[in-house]
Amino acid sequence: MKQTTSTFTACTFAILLASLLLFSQSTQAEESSGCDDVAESCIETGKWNFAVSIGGGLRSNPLVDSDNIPLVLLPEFSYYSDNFFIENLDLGYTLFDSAEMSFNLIATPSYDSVFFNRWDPGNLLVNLTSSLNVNQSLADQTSQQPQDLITEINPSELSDRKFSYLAGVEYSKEYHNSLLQLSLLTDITNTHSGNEIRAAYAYSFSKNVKATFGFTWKDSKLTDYYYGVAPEEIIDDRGAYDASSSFNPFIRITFDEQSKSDSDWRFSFEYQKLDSQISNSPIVNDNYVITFYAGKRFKL
Amino acid sequence: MGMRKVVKFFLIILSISMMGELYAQNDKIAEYGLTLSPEKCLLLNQAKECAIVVKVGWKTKINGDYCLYNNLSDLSITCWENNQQAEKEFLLSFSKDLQFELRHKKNNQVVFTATLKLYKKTSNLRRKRRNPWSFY
Repeated sequence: MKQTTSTFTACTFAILLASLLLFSQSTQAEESSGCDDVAESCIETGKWNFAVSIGGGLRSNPLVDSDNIPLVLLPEFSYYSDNFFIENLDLGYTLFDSAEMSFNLIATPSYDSVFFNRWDPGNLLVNLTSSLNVNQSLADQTSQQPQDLITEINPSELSDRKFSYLAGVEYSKEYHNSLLQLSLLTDITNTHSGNEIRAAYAYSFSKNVKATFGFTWKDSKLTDYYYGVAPEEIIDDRGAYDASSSFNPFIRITFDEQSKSDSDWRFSFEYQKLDSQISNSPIVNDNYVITFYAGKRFKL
Repeated sequence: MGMRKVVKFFLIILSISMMGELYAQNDKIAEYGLTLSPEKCLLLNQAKECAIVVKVGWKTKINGDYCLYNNLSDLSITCWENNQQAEKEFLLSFSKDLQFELRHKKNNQVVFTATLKLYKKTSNLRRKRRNPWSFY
């Protein structure tokens, strides 16, 4: 497994280096083209953009003794320069961009960290592919259903799983009404030294309705850091748990009113299946995460 | 309400919204308001003003007499009598954002507004990041 991980990291850096050499020359020219038609897919550079969605929704929480996460106010912000961009918690640098494809260097949180903190940024700047959340207040814990003390462990009994940032490359290919995106990411915060692959395919049925399916693959280091239980964390008879790599597919359907005004209605529903390496963990109860939200988005 | 019930309820709402959208697409102007097409104009390097054909559409809840104005003049561009919706094309030249207003002919009360944005050479545009992971 160690060899697989180091091969993955080596591949990621090889792609990074190759892409820098290949695309850095042509970036500027390619980037400015394609936006002369002031299409909706284009954005003004050098300007901060803010929006907030007000509505209602929920993310199910598969963890032992954890509340579902209510989604009510969802803020958003972004900033674009010629090559650099910020989109909520994601930072990126565009190496190549054309009407059909783009190639970015990207830094993005590993959303698994929201597991340990209700007020983690990932719980406020919601990315629907974020994974697990827990509310750890004592009051909440005592109000939960009785815990199976033989096979289950409350996450609050374990040491902190820290917030981590992943970085790598992101390749997107557009074709008619569909978009394919692949990201190869590795830990840059030295939190778990893990790697993640994200793949998604989005198909637009109309200008309002879109279906997306894909997966996240987390290597054993990343999966085990968040969902494993180390022997030294256990103080009673419950067993330690060693998680290997995990493959987590998802499907999402979204509706966007695309109103001409500065506000529009949006709905989204996502089902994510958790790999058995995660769902078999003593800190996890369910093998899925369901997220849905309906609300009105206002540009500020 | 259990999780399953909440999810079921949400899916029903989602389905109804989508069906509503399919019906709405059959209408010429789907929603009440004032719409412009295009909504933006890009001022190219040498040009000092945009000269484009703009399609203006509107739809109101109540049948009536309405007039269209913009911020270039105090006079109305055109008026419609005894109407609830209309669409018309105009050839326009402008050097700043163009604000449109649909007003009641009788009392000059503003019903809807819409802005045709002008992007000058100094405000660069680029393509947004393609992001299938984003909420929207």
